Amino acid sequence: MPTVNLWAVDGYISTPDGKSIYIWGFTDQEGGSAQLPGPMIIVKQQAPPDKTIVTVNLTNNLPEEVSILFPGQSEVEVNGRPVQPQYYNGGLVSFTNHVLPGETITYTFAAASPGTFLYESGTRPHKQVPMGLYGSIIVRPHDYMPHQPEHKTAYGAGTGTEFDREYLLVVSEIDPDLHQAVEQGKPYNIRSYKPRYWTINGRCANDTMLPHNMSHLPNQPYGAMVMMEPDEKVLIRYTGAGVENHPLHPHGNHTRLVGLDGRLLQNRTGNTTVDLSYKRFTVLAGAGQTHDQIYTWSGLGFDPATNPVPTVIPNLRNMAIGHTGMTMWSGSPYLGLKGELPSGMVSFNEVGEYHFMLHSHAEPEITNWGAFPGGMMTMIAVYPEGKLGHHHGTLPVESHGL
Amino acid sequence: MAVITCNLWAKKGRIKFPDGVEVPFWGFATAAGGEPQLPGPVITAEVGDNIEIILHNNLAEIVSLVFPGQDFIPVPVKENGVFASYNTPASPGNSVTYTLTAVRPGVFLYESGTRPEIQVPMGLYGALLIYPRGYKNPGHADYQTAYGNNSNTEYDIEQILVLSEVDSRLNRAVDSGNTFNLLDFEPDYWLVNGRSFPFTLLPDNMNFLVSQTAGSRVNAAPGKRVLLRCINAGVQNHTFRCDNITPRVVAVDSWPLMAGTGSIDATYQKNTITVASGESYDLLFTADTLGHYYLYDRDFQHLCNVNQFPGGMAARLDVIPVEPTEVPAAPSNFTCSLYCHDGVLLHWNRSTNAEGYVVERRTGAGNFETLSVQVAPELTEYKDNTVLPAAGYTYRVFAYNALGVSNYSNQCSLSTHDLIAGPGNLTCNAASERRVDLAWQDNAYNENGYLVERSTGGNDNYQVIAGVGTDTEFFSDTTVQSNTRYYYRVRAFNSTVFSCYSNSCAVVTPTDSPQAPSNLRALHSPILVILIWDDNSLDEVEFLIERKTGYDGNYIQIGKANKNTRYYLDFKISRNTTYFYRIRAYSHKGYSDYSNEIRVIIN
Repeated sequence: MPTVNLWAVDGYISTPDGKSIYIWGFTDQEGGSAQLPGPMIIVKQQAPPDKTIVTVNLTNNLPEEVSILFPGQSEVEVNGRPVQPQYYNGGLVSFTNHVLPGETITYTFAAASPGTFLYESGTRPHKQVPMGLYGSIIVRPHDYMPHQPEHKTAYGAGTGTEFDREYLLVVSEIDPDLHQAVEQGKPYNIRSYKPRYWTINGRCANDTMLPHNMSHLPNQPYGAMVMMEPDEKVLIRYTGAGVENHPLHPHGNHTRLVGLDGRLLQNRTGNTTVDLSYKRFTVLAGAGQTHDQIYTWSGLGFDPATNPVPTVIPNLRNMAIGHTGMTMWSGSPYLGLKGELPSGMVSFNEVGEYHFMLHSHAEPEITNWGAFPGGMMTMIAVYPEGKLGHHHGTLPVESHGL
Repeated sequence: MAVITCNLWAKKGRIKFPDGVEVPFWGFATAAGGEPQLPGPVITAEVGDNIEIILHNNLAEIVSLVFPGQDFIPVPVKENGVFASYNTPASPGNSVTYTLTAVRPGVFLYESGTRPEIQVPMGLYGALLIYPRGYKNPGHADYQTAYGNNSNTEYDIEQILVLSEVDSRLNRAVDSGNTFNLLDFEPDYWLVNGRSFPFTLLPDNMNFLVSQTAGSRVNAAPGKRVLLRCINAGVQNHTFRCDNITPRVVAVDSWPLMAGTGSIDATYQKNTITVASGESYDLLFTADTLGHYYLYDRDFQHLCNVNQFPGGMAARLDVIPVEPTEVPAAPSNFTCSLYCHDGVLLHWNRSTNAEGYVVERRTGAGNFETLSVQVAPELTEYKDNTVLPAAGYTYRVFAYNALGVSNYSNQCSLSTHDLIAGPGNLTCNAASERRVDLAWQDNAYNENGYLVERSTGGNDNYQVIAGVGTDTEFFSDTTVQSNTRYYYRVRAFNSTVFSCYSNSCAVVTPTDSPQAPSNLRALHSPILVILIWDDNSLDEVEFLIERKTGYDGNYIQIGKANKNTRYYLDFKISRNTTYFYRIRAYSHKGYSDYSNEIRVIIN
């Protein structure tokens, strides 16, 4: 049964406009700094009827009590008893059992359903969750086998949730005034919460498009770049860890929603299965909620020789190539080919892949303090067939020891 | 088919929040002389009934009602060619009658259709519940269902949760007849069934909440099916979360997701649901393990009363073994005492059938006011830190459960003549090996001085080491040894009493001779070596730089660096030579140990 050791600590994260922001967060390295989001926890279910009991040991290195809520999980317990709200001097201080500074608490829960889940502090959550005390849990079905297509699924074989690659996108906001007030021990007016940065996996664009484990972002280890080949099924897991709702959409296609809050969109009555999955272009990644969706992209088969793009491609002189410093376009409208670009323009295109934005459609949220590009934005890069390494879009079967 | 007649009086009133603030509002009363309610009274009907609502207007402007989701045709009205109301209004002092037929079951809003941007936030809304025809009739197929048989909506316990907000500035402006710019709308209170947490946990019909009669705490025994009917009467979206429960969404906007025989079951599970303004969700689950389950707005800024957490939009489900059958007994053995002369400690015995308590306080001969709402039955103690000195207070407590409230406990009175506020924010810093500086905040006005206590043996074994006079907020302890851990605490005193202790603080004094510099490292080129180190000493005079040439050379001092510097430039180097460096600090107490040694090879 998996055991995860977490420490609640502080640290700093970087934004692309050069700001260093104080955070509170989780780490799974003893003596480590907080990371944003907290460590990804991936567990695989035991075969029924066995229960999958996950143990989380939380040690508190912050100056006030902290706790962890596990929405969507079953039988959340401490010391063998169900977790309960905590009271002090008659009033509510925590939604769940919490731990004092310097001490350790052990939670257990039964991962009763596959899917994507949030974990977050339940103590003074209006402050601690925006400060960064959140992360995501992925529960894999018991029959998950990454090398067998019919068993590489989000919710089990036969549930229509097969995927080729998967990506986890945890979204949130940052109000730098809150973080500065906590860093300096000053009071903060919760009603004046006004984010100025928006994050995917703890990073603001364009850092969202960088790989995992960038050395200049030591406390923001997860990138958010989605990479795929045509006709693949890509499982995109949203986790809404902020306090606001974000309308996310990919360009290039709809997604098919297959699971909400870690519950499969399917009903089984007797022998009948009702498929409740649905397609949607813009998904409101709501506060505290998760969405599992499958994204695909199939080209129209355009080829310069046999099936050219049926419109006149504008002359280079008549094209506006963005001055935003992130030219992804290859210069050619054909997948796999590179074409001419205006002189002096640097393209980040590698092999003629297509790039589609995946972003919050609340446009102020794709800025860093008002400066575009930034914020809650990443790309889906569709690579020509055979050109994308197999390791992209691969997450481990399980993340922490058995 | 019955005719349901409902008389509503639109009138002014006041609502109360847990921070003691009262805000004016406009609501609907059920009697001409009655208090207006927030939300308005629940109107109940069965499918097929004709509903007749007579609206009497006791406000100073026209008012009307609209019924979103119902089968009715509104009649918009213009005054002097300008749009005035979405439906036929009643002018001040007059009435208007609306009739509609209840066509389908569900939970709906009724709300003002006149200047709704002002009148709905002011409080002119309520819930309209329509049930299937046989819902009360055991034996009928629709018995105890929300949407009829074959809709998967059978329940044992039903709770309506009307979500909304209040911007107290809007209410005060409108109530006094002033304008309010809606672009400034920024709520400072969030409500479930018209109350803010923790008042949401109190039972219905609390005597001090005459206009907010509906609680929103739900009791259920294990195995009972609970139906939560969430409807958002506010103008903000609210993300409704059920802690440790994953309910099934059985209807949205009162359209059942399993519409009847032969339809597919499109119900789905969700633990956190964003309920948009005007939307409703019916959530069904079976109560399982005993305990408290909070139901709250995951948009955390709405979990406050103005700026105080917890508060706002939170309610609770209590899964309890047995429903109370009577109101609780009055709490007994209620005592009050000054605790270390800083505040008042109240204690009472747990009473049978209690699910919580409310503590009240009276200052002198004034009225009793609510002091604290204790939200669980085992919370039988409260510390009142808001007392003023030289005053007389009387306290009493009563218990509550879902059925109502108990009688009062005995009263307890005391005076705070001996009150003396304790110091706070104690800090201690080692100024040197021989001096620790303490600083604290003087919160008392009637002290003769402060006593400083110190311990070396952990956070106990304190002894008084000094006394300082009135209004002093600092002390330098010059009797400390170097390289020792000390704990301090401070309290105020006067001729009769001591105050509470401040927080304690711990400090370690530095060692005698300076601490050695550490982490010596170098950057180099063929003509220059830059040495860099970490400065660990507090009071060095200078750093001494030593260098050895070759593996067999001897160390000689080649230069000095000023105190507090962390770098040194060595230009006097030759090519094709290997050098070794080490440094140490020097103070009037002598030399530190050497830093680490490093080797630099010049090519």
